[in-house]
Amino acid sequence: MALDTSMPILVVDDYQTMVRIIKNLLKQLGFEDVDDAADGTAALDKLKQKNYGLVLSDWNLEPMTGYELLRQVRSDDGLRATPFIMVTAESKTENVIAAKKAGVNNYIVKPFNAQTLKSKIEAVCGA
Amino acid sequence: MPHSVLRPAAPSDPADRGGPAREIGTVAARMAELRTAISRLGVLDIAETKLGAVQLDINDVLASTRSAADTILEAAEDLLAATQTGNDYRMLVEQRMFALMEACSFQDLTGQRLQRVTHTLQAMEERLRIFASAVKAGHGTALSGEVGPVTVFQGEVERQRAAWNDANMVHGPGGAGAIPQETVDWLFATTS
Repeated sequence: MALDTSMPILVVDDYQTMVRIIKNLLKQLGFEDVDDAADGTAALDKLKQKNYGLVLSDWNLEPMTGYELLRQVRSDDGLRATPFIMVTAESKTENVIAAKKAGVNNYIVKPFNAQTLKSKIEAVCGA
Repeated sequence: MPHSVLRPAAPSDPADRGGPAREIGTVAARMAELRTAISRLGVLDIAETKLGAVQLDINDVLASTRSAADTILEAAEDLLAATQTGNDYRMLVEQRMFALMEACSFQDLTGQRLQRVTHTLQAMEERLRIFASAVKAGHGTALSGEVGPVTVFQGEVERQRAAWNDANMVHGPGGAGAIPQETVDWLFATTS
């Protein structure tokens, strides 16, 4: 499936090592324009300044969680169409269902590998 | 015939002064037992010494794992970005492999620290078990002789943290109720 590797991606995670891992995996997949934010509030600021093609967000963030970020993105007219994948260790059924109902496009459980990340991005953003 | 049978007890009856006094004596003895049990629990030792040491150990574990992850990532990034060929590339790979092996030594230190944390928690658990037995406390029930559930002591920080986690569905990794990626995918495909 063809992927537009020129699209900007926003990685939202408060753990810098995780940000670095995801950025490296994205780089291997061909994505070069990757920014990061440490929580939902910072992510929302960046989303309003740049037109991202995809958001990859952790759930467990403070003060604004990834779930709250998702809800805010989906309630914002200018951002609601932005593809959003939750990349998180929060893997209870209630979390998955809540995220789906809030409009998440896909859900990746940590720890994950490059193949899982690739297949989910393809499923969400593939042409 | 015993006194109590001839005359029913009444608080105002001077002849029954032994009743309340005996009860006060029983309560005082119970309080002394509780004080001893609390002293043996070593609350201050737990709060000031043991939990402090646990916190330091866990902070060290976090720092060690972070440092090891940085080293591993650096090695991987260097190799992926390498432009050398032939013998130069081989030397670079060897250098980075040694860095990876050195980084793996973090497991030894973190293992020892986590073992110490585990031992401390086990010791605290044992003390609390003995304390609960000494004061005859059950799971969420009142002390022997009292009626109804009791409210477990909970500080404001703990209460707020628990409420925030519940409200935001933050449970952390793994644990009870966690599901694998395959189940997530199935849920995703079947939930509307």
